[in-house]
Amino acid sequence: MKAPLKKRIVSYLIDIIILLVILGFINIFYNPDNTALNKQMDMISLEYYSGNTSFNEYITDLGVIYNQIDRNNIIINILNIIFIVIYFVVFPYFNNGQTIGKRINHIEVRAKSNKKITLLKLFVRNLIINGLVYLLAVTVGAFVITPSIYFWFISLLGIIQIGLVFASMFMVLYRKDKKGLHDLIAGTWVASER
Amino acid sequence: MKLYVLRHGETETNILKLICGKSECNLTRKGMVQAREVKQKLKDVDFKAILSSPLTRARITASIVANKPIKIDKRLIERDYGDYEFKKKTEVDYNGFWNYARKQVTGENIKDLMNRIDSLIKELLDKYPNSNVLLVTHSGVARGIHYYLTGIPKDNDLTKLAIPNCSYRVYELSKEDEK
Repeated sequence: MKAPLKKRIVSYLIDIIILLVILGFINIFYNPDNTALNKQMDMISLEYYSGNTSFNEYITDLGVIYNQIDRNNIIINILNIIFIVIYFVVFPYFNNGQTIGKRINHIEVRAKSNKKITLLKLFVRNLIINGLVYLLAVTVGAFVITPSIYFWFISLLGIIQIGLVFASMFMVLYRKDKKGLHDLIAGTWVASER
Repeated sequence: MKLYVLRHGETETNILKLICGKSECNLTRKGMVQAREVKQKLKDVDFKAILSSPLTRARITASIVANKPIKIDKRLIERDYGDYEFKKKTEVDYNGFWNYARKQVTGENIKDLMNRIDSLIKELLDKYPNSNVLLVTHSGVARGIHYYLTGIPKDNDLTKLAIPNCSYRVYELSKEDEK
């Protein structure tokens, strides 16, 4: 039986809160020093809003600084990816497709055919709804994208990631089968506990 | 190998005429404009590699100039000025600090600076023997590279070379020249 919408939303919120707490702790213990870069960012913003630099120059300089910040954040980004994968992919794989949020709400992720969910399906699902597309692309992109076009790179990525999340949300809300984009691509559905 | 050695753009401490070694100090607007001007000048040069000091002023300069991703190399970090950090050149024995024959009283020894330059240049010559390479660094390291490649002057005084912000020098190197 399909999981009730309300339970899906509540379990998603519980999982996001748990993850934010975990990632918050990581940030407390490992916090790269971006003070100089942030100060440089303040300076270029002030110059732009004072009318001393053009929009194009501002955007390019912003991208250059974001690029350096993302490079500094490589370890924290990798840790974030690892924890998202552990929480949303590995943990449910060994727990009947249930995260903590889903367990509390007695719902689970299943493969289309009702077979046991695979790691790949869980990974693909979470690429879309839990920011993994953005995080993975930024982690690699910070080192392979030309700094002067970096702003456009992360903007495009952000739009894609948010677009995927919103598309999935609306599909879950309005489709008859309650399948989001992440369910359709990964071949999964969310059911009430057996 | 054609080696381009570029100093970062103007910083806040440059305006105040303070020594800034391994500490962070930010680029001014003029410093960023200088970097954009260098980008224009070097736009036709096909760099095989662009390496920058890990300090923000050099990283930002390199990123503005670069037409490809930059690499960070710790060997390009500014010389450690020790107790002279954030002091005016006139307040300290600056000439003594940059005299190759004198014993260092503070900061990084010139010979240690030359050793890291030696290791970097040899590695670059091995990796990019026939290519253009851009190094974005600081006045101290640019000075070190210059005298490493052209030889220490007879009076051992390394302060005579002026290295304005965002100025660059080009050196032609081949493996045969290796020390």
